[in-house]
Amino acid sequence: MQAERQTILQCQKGSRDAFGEIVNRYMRRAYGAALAILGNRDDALDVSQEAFVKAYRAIRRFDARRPFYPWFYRILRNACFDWLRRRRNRPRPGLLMDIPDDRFRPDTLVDKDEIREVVWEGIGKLAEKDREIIVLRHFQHMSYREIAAALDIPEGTVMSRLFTARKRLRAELDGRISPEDG
Amino acid sequence: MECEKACLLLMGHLDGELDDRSRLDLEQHLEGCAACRREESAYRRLTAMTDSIGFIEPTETEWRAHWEAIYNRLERGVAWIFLSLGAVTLLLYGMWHLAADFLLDAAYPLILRLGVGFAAIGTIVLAVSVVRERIRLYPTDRYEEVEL
Ligand SMILES: [Zn+2]
Repeated sequence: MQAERQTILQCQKGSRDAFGEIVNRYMRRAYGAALAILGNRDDALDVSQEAFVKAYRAIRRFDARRPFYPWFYRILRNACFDWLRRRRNRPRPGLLMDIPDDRFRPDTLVDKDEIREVVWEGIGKLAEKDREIIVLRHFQHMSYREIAAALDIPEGTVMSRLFTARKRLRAELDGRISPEDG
Repeated sequence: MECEKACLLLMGHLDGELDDRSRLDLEQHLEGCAACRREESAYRRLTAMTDSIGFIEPTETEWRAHWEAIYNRLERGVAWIFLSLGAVTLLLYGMWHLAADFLLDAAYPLILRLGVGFAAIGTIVLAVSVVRERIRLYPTDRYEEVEL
């Protein structure tokens, strides 16, 4: 923590090497979050790059006494949601052309079996906000307190937001995974 | 305790986030309610399945390329500002000479001189606006709200 603070102070003086250390420390975690929100590997790499560039440009306004990742996560999630918005608004090449969706495909998974594939696909079908809280809990392994800070919501509402998201995920999987599975 | 409340507390229970009091209340309810016990096992399975998903990591080479791409973009931010400033300076210089040598030269038809003159003004306005945007975007951006 103390060492990280020193590194951040160097970044604030304009050291790109110091920022390289920060990127190296958090790029895997950032990629994991972006991948689980966006559902596609290349997009996750692109958008997390963009988020680090934005973080560097905003680093002077960051309070170095605080942990870096929750602050960075806010930038990352904005970049992800901006990206999804741009993607939604992008005109389709042709209405009749059925473009296969390259998101939430099994090829990003370590273990490719039916259950995991169906769950991953189900996560992809959730509304963005539901998906995000699942991501924070299950892929970023955040505590309720950390989730509340990352989403800027009261700690008391984290449990009910998770409940809603899991209920919807369960509904997505309903009929696709039998109760005996898993 | 009502079943609805129990299902909500179930989340905190599965995530290990309940205080002792709520946990005891929940356990007491579960003991006497088969429906909520079924919910418990369903959500336990769901969270276990979600937790078991792992993503393929990019290779070391890809990570190196990742940082290089970030580094290049940091550097280019500064480069763009200088490039745009340079372009505006050259354009202004060009316009000065254009005004002197061409626009005031009665040997060329007036309509041609007017056309070239307006196009030059348009180019400069565009260039200045690009520079302004770059300078505005560089030291700050629109993530003012990220302070926690
Ligand atoms: Zn019950």
